[in-house]
Amino acid sequence: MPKTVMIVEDNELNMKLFNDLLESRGYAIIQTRNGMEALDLARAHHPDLILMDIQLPEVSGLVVTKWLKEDDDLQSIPVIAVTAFAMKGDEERILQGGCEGYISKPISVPHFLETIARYIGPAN
Amino acid sequence: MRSVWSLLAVDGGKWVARLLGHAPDGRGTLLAGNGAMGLGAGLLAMPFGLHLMLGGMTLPFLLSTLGVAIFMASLTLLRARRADEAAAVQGLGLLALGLGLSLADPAPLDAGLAIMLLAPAYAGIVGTAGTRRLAVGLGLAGAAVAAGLGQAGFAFGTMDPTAPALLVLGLLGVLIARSAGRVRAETDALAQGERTAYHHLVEAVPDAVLRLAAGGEVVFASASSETLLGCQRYELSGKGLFARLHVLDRPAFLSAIDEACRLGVRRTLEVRLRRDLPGENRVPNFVWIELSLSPVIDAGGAGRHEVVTLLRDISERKDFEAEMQAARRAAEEASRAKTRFLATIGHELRTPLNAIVGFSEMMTTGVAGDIAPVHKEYAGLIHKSGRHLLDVVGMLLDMSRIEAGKFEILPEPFAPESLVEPCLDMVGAMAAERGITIAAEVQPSLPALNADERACRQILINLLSNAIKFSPDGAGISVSIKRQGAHVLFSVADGGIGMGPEELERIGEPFYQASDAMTRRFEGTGLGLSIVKGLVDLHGGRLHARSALEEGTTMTVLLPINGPAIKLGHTGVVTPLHKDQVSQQTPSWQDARRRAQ
Repeated sequence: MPKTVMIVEDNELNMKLFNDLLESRGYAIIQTRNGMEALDLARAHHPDLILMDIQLPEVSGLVVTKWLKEDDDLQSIPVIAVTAFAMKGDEERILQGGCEGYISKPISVPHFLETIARYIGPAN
Repeated sequence: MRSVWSLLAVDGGKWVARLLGHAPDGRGTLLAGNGAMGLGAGLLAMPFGLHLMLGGMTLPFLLSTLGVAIFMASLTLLRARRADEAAAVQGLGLLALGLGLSLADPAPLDAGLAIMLLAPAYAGIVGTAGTRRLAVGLGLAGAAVAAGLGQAGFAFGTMDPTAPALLVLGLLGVLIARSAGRVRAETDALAQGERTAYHHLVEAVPDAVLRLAAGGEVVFASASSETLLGCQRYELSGKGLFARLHVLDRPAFLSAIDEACRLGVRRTLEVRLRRDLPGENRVPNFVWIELSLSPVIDAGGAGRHEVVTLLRDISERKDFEAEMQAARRAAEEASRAKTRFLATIGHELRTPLNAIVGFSEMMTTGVAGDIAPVHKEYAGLIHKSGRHLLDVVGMLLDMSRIEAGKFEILPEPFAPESLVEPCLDMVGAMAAERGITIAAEVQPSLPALNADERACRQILINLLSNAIKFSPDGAGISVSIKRQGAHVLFSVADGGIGMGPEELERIGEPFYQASDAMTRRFEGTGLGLSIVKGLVDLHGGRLHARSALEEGTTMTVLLPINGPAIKLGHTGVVTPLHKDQVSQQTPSWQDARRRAQ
């Protein structure tokens, strides 16, 4: 049973990029483009890690993270933010918002994979 | 004591004004003073006259009574503003005193004659030409009669040897009277000339001149006001000017007049006044007029206030100001549009570029399986170009944020020497490719610098990238960091192509690279230094460039050790760049973290 990563990302291309990268390393993937849906999916599938885009169309990734962290069942799942924000203050804001880590865009392939592996190890 | 003094003072302005009930001109003041003195002398003489009359001598009392009557009459005439007649009463009255004196008694004949001859001189000075002629005629006739009588009287006794001297005295009296008349005429002509000159001055200036009473009523309006407001000047008198004032400007006008009168301060205000145009006009036509109010406080007139007002047509200036404002608004709007455009296009470009960079990197690193070596090479080229484009877009966004004042810096103390290594790492590959060596010189024990570390790194990397780009292969570049007073000084010197004075002027303008020819030779957007300049400004620092063509360039940045004086935050203002260098940015300066997506 491979480790499962849930990707919350509204951009098609980024979704595919993350998806293909993680798949190539053997992770199982759950995709969603919608922050509202993310909570239900997390409850249903209990992924090992959540990759969270911060700039989501309806509800911010930070808010979704807050919901996740308020849920007793889900709060142990590490949340890695993926963000285009690169300002100094943003990093703190993201970490204070409950995210375990963050990756800034544009991603570097090796760094991306390393970061994921640091939290949940290899897929199998 | 004081009142005696003012009695004697010829120019007792206030006292005279109180006595007469109005402020007379110079001659009126003189006459009033003389009249008062004469009256005083007559009143003082009356008791003695009375005393002598009791002793059987009636003449002194009669004369003093006559004197009192004369001067009282003249003062009464002055009160009625009839100065000419008052002067005539005084002159001719004195003449009558002399005549009475000499006719009544032969003893004071000489004194009487002298009075009769001097009175015309006095009349000539203070009175009109008619009064003067009358006084001279009467004086001569009286003197002749009195002298004749006296001579006759003397004929009974011995011949007075001084009689011929009396003739000379008569002649002298005539001469004095003539001269006095002449002086008077000249003075009058001069005063008249001055009045005319002032009149012309007031009427000839293109600005309209008005005299306003304390309540704002127009007392006088110059001819130029007719041109200015397109009406007859009498239409302005009284409340006419106020009626032409734009309703919205009336309160300001009234308070300005009030302040001018009460505080005696000059005021200038801009108001709209109705101007009549030829023909029927249904819609009132207003012109912008600048009013300069200068209070004139008449010291003699019991503090009477008047405001001399200049009206100047400033419609042209107002139009110009409105145009300028419109132009400025348009320019600001254009600048905002540019910023919006950059921000939007930047975001739109970044998303696909991220995909290009990410997928090509997957292919290059073989994450998704192996591909043919030549395809790998292509993927590598795509990846590299994508990165470069991302960097350019990142700089565009930085620049637009800086220009829009939305670039926030977070100053925190850090060791400036810690910048060197990461920056050299960042540009190391680019320098190595061209065989360029970089020497760093860091002054020991530098103080902690209160600045945004990330911004400082970017500054140094941009300067280094430029230095590398414009240096010949195999050249050397030096970086130094030292303390200079309350600043930390960063400098990057190269031996590259350098810049001429003209290029130095434009340095730091976004998208400006030293010359068109160079743009071809050296790729880049010309944004690197603009960003440096913007970041330095946000820190309250300074950027200098020293350069000459073919002699290389030294770029110097001074950052205040204690950080920006004012926290700029959202309102950071970036001044236009002047002095800095050359251009361009090379792709690799970015700090991976900040390159956003």
